[in-house]
Amino acid sequence: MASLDMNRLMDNARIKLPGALDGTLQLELVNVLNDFFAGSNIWKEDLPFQVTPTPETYLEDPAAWTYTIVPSQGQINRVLGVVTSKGLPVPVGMSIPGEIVLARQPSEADTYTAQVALVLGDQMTKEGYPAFPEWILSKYYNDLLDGLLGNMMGQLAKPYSNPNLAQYHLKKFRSAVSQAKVEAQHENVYRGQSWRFPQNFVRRRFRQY
Amino acid sequence: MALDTVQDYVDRVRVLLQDQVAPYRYPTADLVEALSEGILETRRLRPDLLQNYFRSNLPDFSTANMNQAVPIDPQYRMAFVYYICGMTQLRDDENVQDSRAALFMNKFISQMLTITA
Repeated sequence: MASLDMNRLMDNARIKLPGALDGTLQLELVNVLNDFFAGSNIWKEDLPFQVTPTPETYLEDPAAWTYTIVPSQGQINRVLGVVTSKGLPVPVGMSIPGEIVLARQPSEADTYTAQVALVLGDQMTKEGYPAFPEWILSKYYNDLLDGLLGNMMGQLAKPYSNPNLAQYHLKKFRSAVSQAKVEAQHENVYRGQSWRFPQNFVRRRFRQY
Repeated sequence: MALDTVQDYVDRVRVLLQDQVAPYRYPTADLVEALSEGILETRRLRPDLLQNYFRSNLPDFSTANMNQAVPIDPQYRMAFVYYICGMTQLRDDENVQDSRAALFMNKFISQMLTITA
């Protein structure tokens, strides 16, 4: 059974969008959620992975420099940072989501942790809703509803088409995405700082290869 | 009447056409054919109503299976009744007024595209 918040979201959308089909609402909800997650980085996961040093250069053996990470839910959109087991930041690249390429070889075998931002994957609930953490829907309920209404009202030639209202709702949604991005950076701490101790590690700049 | 099956649509249409006593003025096959054509027209006007058929053939109906379900959302079932009536009334028939055919066809389109239809 869908969560209380999800049922409430759908009921609100059904009332505000007369003539809309549930299948279309669910389809549009996926678009809204992906916009929200991709724009805000609010859905994060820490993924540990084992690294081992190699004498080969990247061009000689790219696979030895590449580590595949798989999230428990959703799919990886971008990597927010990688740290060693001692918490030191490590420069990496991720041209293909899920495949981390180290910029420098580790001096010894270690367990690195990658913090990644996720978007929706193929997992669906049995009611046909996309699977994602419930707290996000709970916290950003009104904002996601704005996104859903805006996307639906922006559709062409439907009983619920309304370009003016679509603009109004999407403006509110875009503003919510920006706010969620800031909240994600500050880990939901009011006036919190976007870095973690020790600060000088975060300020370091590494040249990417 | 829930308008679930092909037979439900035919029965409902015959009420509006005042054609409920056999032998019928409008053959059942024609009404069923109009229902299939309504699906084609709906694919053009409201693809979301047929999104389950984006990767398969659209549903087609025949008199051989009058109990076949018509896979249309309940909100839009009456629009199909008007479409079948409109298509039937479009034919050159001394019982029919052109304005009545236009009324049914316009009713179908406005029910598909607007709220206040």
